[in-house]
Amino acid sequence: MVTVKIRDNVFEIRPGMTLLFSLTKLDILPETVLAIRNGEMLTEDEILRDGETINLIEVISGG
Amino acid sequence: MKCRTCGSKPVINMRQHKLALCKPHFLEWIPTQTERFIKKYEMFTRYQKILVAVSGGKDSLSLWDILIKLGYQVDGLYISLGIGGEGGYSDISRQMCENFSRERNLKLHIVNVREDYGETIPQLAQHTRRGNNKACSVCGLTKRHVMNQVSRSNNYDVLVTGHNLDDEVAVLFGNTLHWAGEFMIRQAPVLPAEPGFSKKVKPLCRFYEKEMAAYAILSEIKYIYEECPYSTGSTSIYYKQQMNLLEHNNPGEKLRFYLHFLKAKENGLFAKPDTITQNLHPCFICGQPTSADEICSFCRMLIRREENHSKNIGK
Repeated sequence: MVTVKIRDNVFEIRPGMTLLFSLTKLDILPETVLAIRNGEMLTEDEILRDGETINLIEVISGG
Repeated sequence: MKCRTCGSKPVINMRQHKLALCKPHFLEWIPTQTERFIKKYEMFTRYQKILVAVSGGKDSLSLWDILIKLGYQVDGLYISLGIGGEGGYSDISRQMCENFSRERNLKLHIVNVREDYGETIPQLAQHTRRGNNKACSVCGLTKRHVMNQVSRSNNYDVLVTGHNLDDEVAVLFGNTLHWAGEFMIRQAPVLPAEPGFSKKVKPLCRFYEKEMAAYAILSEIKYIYEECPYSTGSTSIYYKQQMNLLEHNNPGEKLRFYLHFLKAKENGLFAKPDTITQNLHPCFICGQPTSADEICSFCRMLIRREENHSKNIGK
């Protein structure tokens, strides 16, 4: 499985999907997050593999 | 997908520009574009003295970083709002700004609202009852007053803020929904100097918020990730979410909304700027320009706070 972390929330998703499709499955708009894997920023066409951890950084701030 | 410049693996794909870039080329592209916007909108020159308002967040610290890399003379201004108590939101954001300026040997002005005006922003909001007990209205009013005051008293030529495209579009969306023409006419990348007011500019106004977050992370700028506790459920975040829904299905929608607005304004859709006249005069108390009778909104807020204090003591 792929572990996806966003702030205090942790999700497990099926491997083999693109980042874009994974975000859609999690109901997260790609425009609102940056995805980091092992310190590297990912584009939305990247395939997520079994055992990986993806950190999502929220980019929208208020004020 | 490949970097358009060198063909290597990209770190970001900006669908609105049909442009994917690798890390080194993205970190070159952002300052190059910033310089283009500074020139296009005639924001400032390298001979001018610039003050950038920093909050400790990704946008303002990235902006300071970019302007220094581009060779501009830029000092920082941090306004300590007293949000979150000791070790809380304001303390952390101040630390971020202090660390940033110290590591780069840059000058940072710090204004502490509690020390200068007797109370923190949450206390002022509570005691003036401005903005229905939400601190945001008092916060905005205070920051505008302090930024202008520091800029003018230290003879800066221009005051710079880190508003990005999503910030601008959220404001524009709200003003359009309410047909707030008097605010729309003043929304622009540059607000020229007026008697008593510094020139204000927004060099990041054409960058998506996601691009600025990517720039901060890839440049290893340490910024406050925690949100202001008062921004939870804010209208501006709601508007940003709605605009991102439109953007998702139609890449470039946010940028077009903003640029077409600027063009429409230039073409006189709302009113010719010279037909809007404001009767500005110095505030009787602080001397900053105001269109209100005798006393500006900021000083009236402080007076109301004193009146409410007196009432409470008399009870």
